[in-house]
Amino acid sequence: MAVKSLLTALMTLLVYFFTISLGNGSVYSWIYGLFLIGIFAAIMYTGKVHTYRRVFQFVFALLFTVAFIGNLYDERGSMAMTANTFTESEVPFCHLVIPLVFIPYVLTQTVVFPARILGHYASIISLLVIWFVATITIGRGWCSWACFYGGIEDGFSGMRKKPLVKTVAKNREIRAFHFAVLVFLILMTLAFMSSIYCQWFCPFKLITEFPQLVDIPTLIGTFVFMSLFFLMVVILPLLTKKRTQCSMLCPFGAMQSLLDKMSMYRVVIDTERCTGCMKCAEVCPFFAIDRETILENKGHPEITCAKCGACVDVCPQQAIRFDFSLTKHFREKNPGKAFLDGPGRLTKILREFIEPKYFFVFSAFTFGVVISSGLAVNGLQRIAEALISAFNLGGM
Amino acid sequence: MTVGKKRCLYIALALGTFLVSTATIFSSFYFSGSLQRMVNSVLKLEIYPPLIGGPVAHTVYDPMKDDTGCGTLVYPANRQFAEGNLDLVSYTVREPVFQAPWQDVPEFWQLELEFRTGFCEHSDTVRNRTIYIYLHIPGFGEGSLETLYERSELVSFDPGYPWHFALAVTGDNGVIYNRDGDRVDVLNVLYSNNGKKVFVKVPLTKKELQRFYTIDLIRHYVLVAAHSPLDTGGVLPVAKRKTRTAGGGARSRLTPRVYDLLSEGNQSDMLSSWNDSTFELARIEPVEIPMRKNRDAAFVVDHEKIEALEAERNTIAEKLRTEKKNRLDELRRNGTGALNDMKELAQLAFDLGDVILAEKLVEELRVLEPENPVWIAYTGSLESMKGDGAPVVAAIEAVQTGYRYLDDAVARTDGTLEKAENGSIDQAAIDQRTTALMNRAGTSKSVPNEVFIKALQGAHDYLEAAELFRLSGSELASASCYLDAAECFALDGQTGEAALWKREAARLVSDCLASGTENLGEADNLLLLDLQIALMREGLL
Repeated sequence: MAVKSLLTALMTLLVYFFTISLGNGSVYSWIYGLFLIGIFAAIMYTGKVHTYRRVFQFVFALLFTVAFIGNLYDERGSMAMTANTFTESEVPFCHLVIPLVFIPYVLTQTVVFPARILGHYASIISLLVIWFVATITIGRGWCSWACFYGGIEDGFSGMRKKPLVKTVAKNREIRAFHFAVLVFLILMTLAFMSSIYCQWFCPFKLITEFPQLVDIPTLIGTFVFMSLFFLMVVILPLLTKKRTQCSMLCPFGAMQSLLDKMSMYRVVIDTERCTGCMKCAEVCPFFAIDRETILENKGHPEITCAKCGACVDVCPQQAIRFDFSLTKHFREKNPGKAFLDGPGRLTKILREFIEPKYFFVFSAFTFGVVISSGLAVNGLQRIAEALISAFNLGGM
Repeated sequence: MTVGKKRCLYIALALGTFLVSTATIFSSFYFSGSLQRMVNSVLKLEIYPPLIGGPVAHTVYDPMKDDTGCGTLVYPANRQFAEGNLDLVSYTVREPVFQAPWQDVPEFWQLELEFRTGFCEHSDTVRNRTIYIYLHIPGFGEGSLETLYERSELVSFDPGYPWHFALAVTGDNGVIYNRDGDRVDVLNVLYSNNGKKVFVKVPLTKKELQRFYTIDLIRHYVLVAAHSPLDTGGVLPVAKRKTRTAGGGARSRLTPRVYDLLSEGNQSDMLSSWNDSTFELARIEPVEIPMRKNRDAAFVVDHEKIEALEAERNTIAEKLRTEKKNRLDELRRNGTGALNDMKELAQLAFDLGDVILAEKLVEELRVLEPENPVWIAYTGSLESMKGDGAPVVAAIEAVQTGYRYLDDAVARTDGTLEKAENGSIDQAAIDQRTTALMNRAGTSKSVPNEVFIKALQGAHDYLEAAELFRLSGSELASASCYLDAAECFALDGQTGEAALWKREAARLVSDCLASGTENLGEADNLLLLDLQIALMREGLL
């Protein structure tokens, strides 16, 4: 209890700093700040990581979308990217492109994306720094805790109680497909020296910005991204309860899966406690657990785990938990039991205090807070102002 | 290892993970500005050139505020011509590109023109400039020596360099013509930054134009005139007095109707070279621009000279500091406590970094002169300075409190620049405005831009202060403000704008050095040395 209260108090401070204070103490920053504190406290005190995280990520994604589109309308009067946007390197950089720019950079020392290099929240360097920090701290946890696009899909995937289409038997193939897509996109980017994913495949263009419809190729492009949005972000998540875009198409997700070993936290499966009920495989939105994972006693989800906490919440045996990557050694030397297991009051206090779940949630949520605060408050303000103005007009 | 030791190690690793991960996330956002600059200094990122119009072959910086053509022209009386609209400040030529991604026409040659100001609020269209770019291609044979439209710009070309292609840009329409005056293709003209920047894309799909891919050097005549849809060539005439349908300041019927001509030197000599008695038009010279970037060229920094200048600078700085310190001590010992003494003392304490004394005095002065924006501005700066080294939340609060004072001080002096330009305000009021602006700009430059997003505001404050200094006759202070503005633009990621203002600072410093520094006072000398050192480090002097 003490550690939960302590971490909640610390999070309140962080939220005050990043959301309220930097939001100049506006009423909207207070509303969003209180929402964040409420979500964090709910995770801490109920232990339901996935449920409340999903609420946070969905709300963040919606507010981000409103703020982003609003900002575009303020700046350009439309969501369409004009020729100026490219010519002046003013296309907002996005983390999804990061895996595609590395090899061209190594070969040409240039970035194949017309964005601002420095000094903007969506500049290339800014996103690279954020990506690096995410990689070494929460790893692919980014996708579950800080990705503004993922929240949309997370929302749709959580709308049905049970999936209409079960995918567990095909999880391995789906994972392989995702990495194949990454390789394809990297090769295509190299071949055309341009981010092919952004030009042709990114479904999120529908809710952010897209090229002006001026000719047949842009018409085809528009058809492709709209179809992909409805298919991968809305329909398939509704049918399967999985984050299909994140797990099949997103180049960033695939890259983060490969780099996740660098992160400070991981999810482990206690093979002695596990009864093989497969509930974890059914609920995992990232296709990261399948029959082989359990039958082969791997002791951890597959490489695509995004630390969303769904399996941790659902496991009836509490056999799945968050853990520190650095203490892996201790687990391996003491199989089957947590290192701080044992009798004694001090051990019990320590066990409660050094609970990886709380520490991971704190770190990941901190990331979510700092990433979301600026745009979410802006989005909230835009929605509130629109409602107020609609109300006033209605009253007239 | 005993169980106890293992347990300790485990606890240390667990706590270490938590602390490091949280601290890394927190600090990466709080210090993101410096982190980003550090990362960029290592990676030195650039955008793949074909995405943004091709590699820059060369940029010519045209002097600012030379939009007077032959030296006497003034803008027409039409409200849509805002100050600086016709003042070309830079001209960038990019290498021709092919297979450029994300472009309507993937084969093109891009030229970029930047003007001092964007279009004003009264302009409902972008049609107030007519731009002619005449190109001489060496070895291309016969060319033309007359303007595209007879008697439009009223200039003649250097007979050694006749033009072979002419680009005519009016509003968002552009056409490229050949030497016979035949239309070759339509240009793609784009405006950005409210018309401050003009991108001219020459499509290279026609065979006649594809030779641009193989040319090494082109001579450019770039002329900027006021637009008129009714006059020959779309060029508004000039007369003795400005009217809504003509610019003013013409000295003869042969005065070129050109407000700005691309030239690195003095354009007014060229544009004044007409001859009324022989009816000869003013003859203009082209600017030679390579079509390929010189990839071997690197700016050379004269470290020895910089070291010598630094030594000289440090001597003067130390001397001035000692003088100020002595004066401060003297005032503290023998000061009468009169208002003027207090003001001088506060200024000295502020300059010498004696924050405690400065705070005390500024507070007293604010009681005595509560409406004086100078003390409000100093209070703002001093409040912001409290954030330096304070805990993060306290630092944010301090800076935000500081800005409340700084914004108030600036708001109280709004409108000063316009009045100063009309000559309807005294020097004291101008000084108040510059103090308010310089305090706010200094704070904006020093606080992390990623947290407060103030760098752009700082840049504009510096530019306005530069203008006020220029009106007060202090070109060096103007140059210093331009350099600071450039830093602020760079912090905001606007590297093009930053380069422009650095060039302008370098131009003013070069002019100052050329006119001699013997009559400069020690404070001005120190400022000049600071500017010289900063500009030499960037290879601009």
